[in-house]
Amino acid sequence: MKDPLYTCMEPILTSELIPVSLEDPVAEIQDFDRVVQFYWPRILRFILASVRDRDIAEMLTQDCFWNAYRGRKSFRGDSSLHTWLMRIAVNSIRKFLRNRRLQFWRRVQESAIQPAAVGDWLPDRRISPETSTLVNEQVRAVWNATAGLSERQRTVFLLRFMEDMSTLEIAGATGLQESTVNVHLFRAVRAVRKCLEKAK
Amino acid sequence: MNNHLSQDQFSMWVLGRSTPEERRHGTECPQCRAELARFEEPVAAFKSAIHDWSDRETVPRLHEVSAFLRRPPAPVTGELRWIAVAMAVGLLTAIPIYREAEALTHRASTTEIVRFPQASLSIAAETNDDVLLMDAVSAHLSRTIPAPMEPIMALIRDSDSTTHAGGTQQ
Repeated sequence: MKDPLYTCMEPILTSELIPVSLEDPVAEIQDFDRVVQFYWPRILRFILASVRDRDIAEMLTQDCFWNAYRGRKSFRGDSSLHTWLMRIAVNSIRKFLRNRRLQFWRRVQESAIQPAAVGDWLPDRRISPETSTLVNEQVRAVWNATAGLSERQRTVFLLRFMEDMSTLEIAGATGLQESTVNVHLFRAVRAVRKCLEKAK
Repeated sequence: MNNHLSQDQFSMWVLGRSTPEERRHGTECPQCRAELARFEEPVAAFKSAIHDWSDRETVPRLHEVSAFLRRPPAPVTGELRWIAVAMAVGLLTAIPIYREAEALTHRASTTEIVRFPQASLSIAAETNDDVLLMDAVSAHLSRTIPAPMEPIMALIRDSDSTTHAGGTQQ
């Protein structure tokens, strides 16, 4: 079932509303601000888990929303707003990784997230120290396991298991065929399971 | 189904593409259930942790994003930078080569005149001949009658050579 807020935001960027929006730029900016408020955490965490660098993740998230704002007229509503934004994010990540490969002299990432720091993400819940340690280890194990995946496998894995997207939505966000998504997902799951087994 | 789920069957289960028989076995067999939990629990913990983290992050207001986005154009990066470097190198290489070629041509023509003055004089004579020939061609084309007939025409009076009304020439 769709979130009511999600549903009410769906038509914000549809082309039918553009003439109305252009008449009232303030309302348009307010509408888009709501989109940013709602989708920012989703896009940020997906990009962070993909590029594994906090500063770069924030920069790419900003770029993603800027591109969405500039390209809002091209959103025809064929897919959900979430899928459309994810597609922009996937393209931003791909472009960034391709450029980074060329910039081989910039290998050292000062703000890269270390596996040990991943445990800090856990909220301060009232859980026993034993449970906290166990969950910490589990989180770190998955974080390390996703590091070993190829770019495409990691993308489909994160979209499926972190963002709960269906195969069809993943295909829409990545531009891949549904069958290709299934193949990458299958391989990703097998690789992650192997890594988790080794971590035990 | 008596056998436990294979590795591939586990992966298909996780993706929700297992057969009803596999699903029944997966829920009934404690060993397979434990095997499934070994994947599902860490992934669920990871998802929960990163969701909690992202929800705690401060979301910038749009004016902050737009302030960032109004930044001056980003410096040339990636492939563009390489293209710019290649073009600069190409230009730096091409300019001296072009200059050298120009200088060589100029030097060669100067040397030619100095070494063979007769040759340059003959070139001038040929040019004069060309002018005379063109004048002769122009004169020939402007004749009203062929050149051999010109002496005959001199014998005919002007009044005889005019055309009478009616169209016939006497």
